[in-house]
Amino acid sequence: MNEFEQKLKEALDEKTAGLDASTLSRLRQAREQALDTPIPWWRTLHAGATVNLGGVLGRHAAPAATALGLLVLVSLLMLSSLSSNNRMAENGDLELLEIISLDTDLELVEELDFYHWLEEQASRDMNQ
Amino acid sequence: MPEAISTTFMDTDSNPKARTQSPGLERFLAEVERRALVMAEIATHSREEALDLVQDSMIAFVTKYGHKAETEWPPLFHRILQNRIRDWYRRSAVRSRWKGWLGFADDEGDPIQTAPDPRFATPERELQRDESRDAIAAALGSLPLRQQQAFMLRIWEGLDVKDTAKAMGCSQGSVKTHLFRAMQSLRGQLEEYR
Repeated sequence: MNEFEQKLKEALDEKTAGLDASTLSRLRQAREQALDTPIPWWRTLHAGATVNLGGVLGRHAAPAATALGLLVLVSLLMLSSLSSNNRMAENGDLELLEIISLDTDLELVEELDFYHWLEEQASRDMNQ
Repeated sequence: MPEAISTTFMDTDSNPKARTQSPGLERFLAEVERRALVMAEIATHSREEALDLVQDSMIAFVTKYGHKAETEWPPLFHRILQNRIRDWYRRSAVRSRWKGWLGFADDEGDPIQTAPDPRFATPERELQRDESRDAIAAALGSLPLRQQQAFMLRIWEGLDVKDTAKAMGCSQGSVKTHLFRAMQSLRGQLEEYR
């Protein structure tokens, strides 16, 4: 930094140091207000902090699942009304509704391939 | 071990406050707020407008970037502040255009409003210093906004070219060009104070 730039910088520093008490007080209030601003929860998702996902999910999972289920149900009913001329569709709808309302273990559905493979292994062992 | 923060989707009152999220924020803002005010005041020629801009910038900064690493704070804060100043420029340009079309006089140049307060009279030497300081502030205030920003961030705030470019939202080459022109203009305007 050359002498001229230094002089300019010092003049600005002096201007800053010469701010009156009322302005400084307002600045402090502005800072306090900013610091008291609530942070949206998604901004807290960073390395320095973890979100209590269990609590969040526990609180919101049930209503969200109900809403999703209703949405799926309404969508299915709307789709079925479009193809109501098809006799087989009625049976299909009933089946789907049954699947949706069925209290099946989700693990079984998700790991269907694994259970299929397990069954194959079991029958192969029996044949041997 | 990071501390767990309980959160809600809807109830913002129970969300964490900025000060609890990062204790260093208060120190950073306290350190930067005065210079931010002077920058905004030189740009807007109004302390009230400057205070509003700084307050808006601080709120936006803590809610958007408070969680970032402390080393990233200076360019991010200045980016927000400089954007706010630029928005203010745009709004005031539109306002004065409307005033011009509608034939209203601009009330910003009222000599009574802008006259120095006699209570703050100082000895002669202090007065000369004040004059030189005011002349420098006036010269900076007369620069085009981008040149002013480049000067404030590079020379006064001490950001490097990369961070200045980040704060100004332009390339590093543009920062150098704006700064070069700013210095040229300031040397011309402040010949007697060199």
